[in-house]
Amino acid sequence: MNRISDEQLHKLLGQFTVSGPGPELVAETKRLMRREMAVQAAPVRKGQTGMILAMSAFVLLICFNLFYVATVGTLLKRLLPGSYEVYLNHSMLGISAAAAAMVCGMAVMVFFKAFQPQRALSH
Amino acid sequence: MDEPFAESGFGDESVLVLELKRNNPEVIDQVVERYTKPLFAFIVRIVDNQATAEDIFQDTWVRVVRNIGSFRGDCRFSTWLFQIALNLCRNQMRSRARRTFVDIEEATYLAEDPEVDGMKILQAQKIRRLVASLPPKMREVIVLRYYHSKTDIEIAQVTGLPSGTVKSRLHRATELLRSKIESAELTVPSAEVE
Repeated sequence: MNRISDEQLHKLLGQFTVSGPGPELVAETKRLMRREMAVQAAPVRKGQTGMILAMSAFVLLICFNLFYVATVGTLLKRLLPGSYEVYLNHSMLGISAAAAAMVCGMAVMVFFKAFQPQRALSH
Repeated sequence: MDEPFAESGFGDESVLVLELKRNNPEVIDQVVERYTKPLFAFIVRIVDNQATAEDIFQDTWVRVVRNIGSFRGDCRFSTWLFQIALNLCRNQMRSRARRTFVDIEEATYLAEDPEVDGMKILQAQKIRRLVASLPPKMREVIVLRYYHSKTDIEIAQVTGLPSGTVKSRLHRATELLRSKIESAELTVPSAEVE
């Protein structure tokens, strides 16, 4: 038997045709797409999101402070003389400031990540 | 054989993508009409089941709307569309045992076309069974090459395979298909003599 050429293979496979989807399916698909698009375009409830972000930031700050007090703070209090206690108390503020800076950094990162697709549209 | 995509150029496609990214509902009609036929044919040939293909077809378009923000334009929109569809087909085939067409339904489906005679229906059914009998990985490359005229690079983009793997898989799949055609004793159309 002769070898089937690529052209013959094309022709042979071309005999298996598939009709397009029915008009009902296409119409239903378009309806689903419009609904999905409306969901995508709906404005985010900013109040709720802001509240969640603020709570998360606050919890993170408290966690930082508790971690510091429970580990480094406790250790230093035992090792250092009593006159250094004032510096230890001030260091709590320092650690809070550091935690706040981290939270701000994360917020900035989230902001740019969220707005990147919109920015790309302008190119 | 399906037309590769009636595209007048990449520029038009990028406009459609831009409008989709802007959540413009007016573009839906245009984009769906443009890609519906090749996309549906692709899904049917991969999953070999009309009902499953319809579900995947709908799911593909919904995912397009949902994820259009992540489309960076590294490839053509049609390639990205096929990628989504193929991933859904793979998930579908993995999750449930493959069902096959009920022949009588298929015959009725084809018989609705008055230009299709009985012999052609039988021949088409044989070819469908032949394509469906290929292992899924081979079927993917065969369908993309012979029904959608995709290049090796485009097949690599759709399937997520390295270009070299696509070439070798395509070669092996074509050889397997040839041997199946020969053993199935199908009427092979004659090659045109120039």
